[in-house]
Amino acid sequence: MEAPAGAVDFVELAPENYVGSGGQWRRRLDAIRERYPVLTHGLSLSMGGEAPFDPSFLAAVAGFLRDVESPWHSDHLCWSSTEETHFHELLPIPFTRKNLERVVARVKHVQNMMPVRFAIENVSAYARHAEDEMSEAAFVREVVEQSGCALLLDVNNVFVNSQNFGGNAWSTLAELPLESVVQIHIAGFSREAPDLVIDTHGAAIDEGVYGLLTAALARTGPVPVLLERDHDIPAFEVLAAEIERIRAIGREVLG
Amino acid sequence: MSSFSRYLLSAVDEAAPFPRADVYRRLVRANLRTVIDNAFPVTRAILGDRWAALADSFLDAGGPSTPLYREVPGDLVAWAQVAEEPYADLLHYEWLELVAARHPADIDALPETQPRPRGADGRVGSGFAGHGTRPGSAPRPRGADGRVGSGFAGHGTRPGSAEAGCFVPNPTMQIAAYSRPVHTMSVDAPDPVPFPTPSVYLVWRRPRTDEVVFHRAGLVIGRALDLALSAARNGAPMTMTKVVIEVAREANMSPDVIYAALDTCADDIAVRDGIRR
Repeated sequence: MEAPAGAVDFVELAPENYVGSGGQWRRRLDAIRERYPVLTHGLSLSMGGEAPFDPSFLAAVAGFLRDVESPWHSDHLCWSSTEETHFHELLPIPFTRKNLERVVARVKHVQNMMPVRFAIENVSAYARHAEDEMSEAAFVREVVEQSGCALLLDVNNVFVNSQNFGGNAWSTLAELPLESVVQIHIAGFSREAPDLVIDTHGAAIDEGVYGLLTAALARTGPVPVLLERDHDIPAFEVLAAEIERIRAIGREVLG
Repeated sequence: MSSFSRYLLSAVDEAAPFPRADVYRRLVRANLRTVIDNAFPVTRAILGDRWAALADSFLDAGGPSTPLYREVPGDLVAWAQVAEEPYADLLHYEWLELVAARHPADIDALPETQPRPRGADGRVGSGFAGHGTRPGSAPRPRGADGRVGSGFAGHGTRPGSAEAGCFVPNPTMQIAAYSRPVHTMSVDAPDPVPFPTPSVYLVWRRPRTDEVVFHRAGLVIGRALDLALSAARNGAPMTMTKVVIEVAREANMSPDVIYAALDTCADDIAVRDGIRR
C-alpha cells in the first residue's frame, strides 16, 4: 500500500480476511482499492473436501467479489475441512476417479455461486496418497476440462512438488492445462531436508522457479503474475527487485 | 479422512497414518496456534506454561469450525466456556475487544462527540420524561430542527428517520457480564476479588481512531443498553424513555431510579462515542 507509484501493478486479497470486517480492515481495503486493481484468492472453500458448502459463506465471498470487482476468483485444489473442523491448511486429496467426479461437481457448484469466473490453484504437497490413480497434473487437467473452470498456476508449487516427489517439474508443467491459466503465483520455499521443501512464502524465489515461470509464460501468454510473500518479509526494495525480474521475464518471453 | 483429521489436531505425536503426515500435523497445529496465541495476550501471559495445554485441549476437542481463520479464537472461547476453563471469562473479554475492533459497522462518518453542557452544580442531563427535569440541570443541546443529539451515520438518525430522538448505542458495542474485574487481570493480578454481583462490560470501537474502549455498569444498566442495542440492530430504535419503561417493568423498579442511573451512565459512554441520543 505504501509502495512507490508503479512498483506494484495489482494486489491480491483473500476474501476471508476482509468479509464482515470494519474499522481499520475496511479502511485498508478502501485504500488498496483506491490505488490498485484487486484480484481475489480464497483459502477456505475446501474444493477437494467432502463437507457440504456453507451457502452463507459462499454468498459472503460472492458479495465481496462484487464489491472489489475482481475479474475472477480462485481457491485451492485441496481439502481443508470436514463437517466439524476447519484445519486452515491445504491438505492433499487422493487423485482418484471418484474424487475427480466430486471435485468437478463442487467446482461447478462454486462457479454457479460466483459472480465471476472461478479458477483452481495447484497446491504444494508433502505427501501423496497410496490410492492415487493418476498424476497431479492429469487430475488438474481433468478438473479444468470437465468443469470448465480456469487454472491459477502456481509455478512454485510445481517446483516444490517435484522436489518432494522426485518428478520433473518441466514435464509436470507441460502436462497442466496451461491454455486455461488466468493468473500465475510465484514464491519462495524453505528446504527442510534433501527431499523435503516447504512452501513457506518466506524466502527469495529459487532460480529453478524463475525458469518454470519463463516456460509457463511462453505457453500462457500475458497473464498477471503474483509474487507471494507471507513470512520473513524483507525490505520493499528486495521485493521490488523480484517484481522487476518477473517483469523482465515477461518482456523477454512476451515481447 | 477421519483418522488423518484426528491425527492432525492431536497433541500427542501418534504414529503418522502415512509418510510425511507429520509435516501436515506440524503445519496445521502451528498455524492454529499462531492465531490463537495472538488473540489472547493477557490470558496467555497469565497461564504461562499452561497456555499450551489449554490450546491443545481445544484442538483435541475438535478445533475450529469456522472457515474464517481470524475467527478461530472465537471458537476457542466458545469451547472454553463449555469446558468451564478457569480463565474462560478473560478469554471472552479479550475476544470481545477483537470483535468490537473488527465489527463491520461503518461508524467513521460519526460527528465529533461534543460534551453535554454542565449546569452550575456540575451535573448534566435531564430527568425521566414525564417525571420532570431535575433542578439545576442544563438542557441538552438541540439542533436547528429542535431535535436532541444525533445518531450513527449509516444507521439512520437523519431528520425524520427512525432513529431521530432515539437512544442508540454504538453499533459495534459488545455486551457481556463477568463475575470478576477481567479488565484488571494480568500476570501480577491473575485472580482478582470477584464482584459482589456480576458486572456488565460494554465494549465498543470509537470512530476514526479505532480505539476500543469499555465501560463497566450494573446489570440493570447493562440490560438497558442491551435492549437499546437490539432494538437498533432490528431497525426499530427506542427512545430512552421507552428503554427505561421496559427495563423498569422487567426489574420491577422505579423508572425514576433507572432513568437517573442510565442518564449518568449514558453521558459517560456518549463522551467516548458509545451512545447517541
